[in-house]
Amino acid sequence: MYNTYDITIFKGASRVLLGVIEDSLFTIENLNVWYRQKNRIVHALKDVTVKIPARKLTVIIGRSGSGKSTFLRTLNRVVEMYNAKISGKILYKGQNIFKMNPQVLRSRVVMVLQRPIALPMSIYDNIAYPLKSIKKVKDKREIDRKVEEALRLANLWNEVKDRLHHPATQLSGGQIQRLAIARAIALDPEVLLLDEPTAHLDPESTRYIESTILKLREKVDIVFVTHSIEQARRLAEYVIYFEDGKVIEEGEAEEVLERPKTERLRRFLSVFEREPEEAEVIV
Amino acid sequence: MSVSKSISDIFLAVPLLVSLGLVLYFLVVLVYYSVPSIVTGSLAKYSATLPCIYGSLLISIIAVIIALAFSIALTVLINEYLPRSLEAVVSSLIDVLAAFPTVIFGIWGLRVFGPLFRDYVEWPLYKYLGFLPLFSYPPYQVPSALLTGVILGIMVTPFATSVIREAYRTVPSELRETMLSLGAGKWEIVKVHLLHIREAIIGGLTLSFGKAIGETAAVAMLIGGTVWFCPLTAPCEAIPSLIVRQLGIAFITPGLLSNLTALALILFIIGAVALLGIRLIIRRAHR
Amino acid sequence: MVRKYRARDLALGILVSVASGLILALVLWMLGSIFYYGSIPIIREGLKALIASPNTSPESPQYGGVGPLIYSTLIIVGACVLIGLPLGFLTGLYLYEYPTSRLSSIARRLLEVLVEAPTVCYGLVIYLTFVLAIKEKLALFAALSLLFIIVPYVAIQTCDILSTLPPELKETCISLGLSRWKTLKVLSRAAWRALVANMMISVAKVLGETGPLLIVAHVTVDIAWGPWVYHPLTSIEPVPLTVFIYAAALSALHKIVILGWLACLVLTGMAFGLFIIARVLTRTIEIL
Repeated sequence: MYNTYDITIFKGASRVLLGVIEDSLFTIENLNVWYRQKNRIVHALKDVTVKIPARKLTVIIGRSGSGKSTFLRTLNRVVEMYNAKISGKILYKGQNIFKMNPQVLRSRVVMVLQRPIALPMSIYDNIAYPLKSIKKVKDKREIDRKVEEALRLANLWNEVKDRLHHPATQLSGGQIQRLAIARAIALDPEVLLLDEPTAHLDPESTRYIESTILKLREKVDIVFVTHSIEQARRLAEYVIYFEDGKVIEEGEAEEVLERPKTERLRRFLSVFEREPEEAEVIV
Repeated sequence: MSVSKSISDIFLAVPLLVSLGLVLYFLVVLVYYSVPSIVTGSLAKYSATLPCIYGSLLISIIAVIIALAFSIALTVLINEYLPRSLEAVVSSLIDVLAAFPTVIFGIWGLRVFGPLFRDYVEWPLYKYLGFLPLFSYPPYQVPSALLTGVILGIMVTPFATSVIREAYRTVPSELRETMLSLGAGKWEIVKVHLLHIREAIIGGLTLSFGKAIGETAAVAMLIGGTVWFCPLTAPCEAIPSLIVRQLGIAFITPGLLSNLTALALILFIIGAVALLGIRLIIRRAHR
Repeated sequence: MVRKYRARDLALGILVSVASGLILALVLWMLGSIFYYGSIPIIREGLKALIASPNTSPESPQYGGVGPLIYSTLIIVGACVLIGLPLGFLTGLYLYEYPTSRLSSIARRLLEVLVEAPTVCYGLVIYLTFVLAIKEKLALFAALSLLFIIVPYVAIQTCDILSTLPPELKETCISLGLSRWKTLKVLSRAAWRALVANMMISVAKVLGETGPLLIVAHVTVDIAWGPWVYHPLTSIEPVPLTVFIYAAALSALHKIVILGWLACLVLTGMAFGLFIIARVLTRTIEIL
């Protein structure tokens, strides 16, 4: 009676209906995002309807310019900083995020950016200042404890414990990125959004960060954007594939990555399999 | 080839040498006339030396504080609150301020702003805070150190603003994004941005300090011309205005000319040290 | 929790708008004062106020005008610009052309120091060497004292503007076999908007400069047309607008103060004219 496509839609709809019960983290319906870039309007996301499951490490893959970063930035409404025009609906644990206070939303759904950036203060204050100012943690010992815990989780404690009060700008790129992750998890977020956190880093720092992410998975929901299939294979439990501002495929990691249903995803994956070195260049 | 090259070299070098001569002439004259006063100790004995250095520093520091407040407020307003269309209006208004010849600040401060400032700011300060030595002088007349400092502050605001604003604009957008992604509000975002550009802020303030301490016309009009360690609400005297006032009688008073030149040299050195300071800060920021 | 940081953000917004509003109101107030008081003589006595000389007699109700002051300013600034602009520009060319030479690095450093020196020092130097020597405050000396302002400024700015040109342009010129002069000509033409704009600003700086003139010119409101107009630079009569404003502001005679405002209006008009030309030529001009 029904073909596969219809059934997918039917399943999708039922999931949306049962969203809260089924414990989906984000439910996105008909999301469109436009923003202005040098006097040109870019239609970055086109009618995206997708679900991000709770308690799973979701990895979003796609080429650069496919809209995956914009999508991530829409989840915590940082995209509004660029005067983007947004239509559609995003539910976070059943709540419409566009009706929430953006600051509260962002302190619960925290993002770590692609380019490592240190706040212009000491290593300690990089973590402590947001705690004090945003989370209103007053107790000195509590802050000390949280700083140490976050740095340990981010695999950075041993490297910086003797120079906590030195300027953070002295750290290397990989260290600053781990610091950024520590800063984010110190705030006890419910969700951690990671936008290609290893894109600018060397393989060793990348390994450090991946092991951090695997550790964190137990504590917090993670949505991870990457253009590297290898990284997706190593980390993902759930995969969403973006192309040209649209969701092409989504599903459990093994299923999507090993048995892609669409031609476009197959082509994207095959580029990597055949010539991995060149693939890096293309992407 | 080599001949024509050397000719064009010489041709280009002539103006440079003339300009260089201008600079050296300036420095030599300034130093030559100061030496007698410094060597004989007449500068140290001259009764106006210390009060005028004090006066110059006092009004410049007031000016820097005023400029700091205004320039940071304007920077934050333009970058955080105003839509792009209004941004141009506000920045041109500030540029207008930089385009006014300084003597206009003098006449405006003396004839328009000063009387109101004395009645509504200086009198209340004297009345309620008069127990402090700084405000212990009853402001009967318009000219005063505080008025001079405030007018100088307004005068140098556009210069500080242009430096600070430029730096604020070039802060990488990731910093804002990072702070937003942590759930920060305007307060935290602005604080982090200002911390990020603190070198530029110090640079802008040093620049304003140099401009304020070197200003002559507006100071001579507004400061009153009384040589003493003045409270803020009293008429005072600074080095440039002292030179303007005393030079007329200098050639009939022995030693005065040299003393005044030595004071000018001191003023020049304070300015040069401030400039050197900016350079060092900028170099450290680049490193 | 939400309320708390909203209060902080609100406080920041209020603080910022109050301080900015205050300074912007002060600017408008100043502009308003200049136009309000400055236009009084023009309204009363028409355009004659721009030609006649100031009427300093306390009995007469007539204001007179600022004619000789405008003339003096044009002569003094004109003489200074005539020498200073070419000198500064050519010096800048040298600084740009030989950036690594020892001479230009010393020159540049010294010029930078001079640019930031307190302007009263320039006047003092001219006073000590020229005015004391012949015991007369000739207008020529005023023009000379202003040279110290225009030359270093134009030289440094010229060098900096040329340095912002793409290096490929210079390389192309040189590889075409153009001589040094021709190359500099091409480069200057490529950057002419910024160069001319910068010259306008330097003229505006000189126009508004008062400090040295208070020392090397006669500080008086008493000026009238006379035979000196035929040899202005070698006479002691000229009083520039800036000096007149200084003297008028301190005057006890109300109508002289009002004439001072008229002088402000004229001076502001000239300075703004130059700034607007500069702004039109280049949108990103530095006000420093």
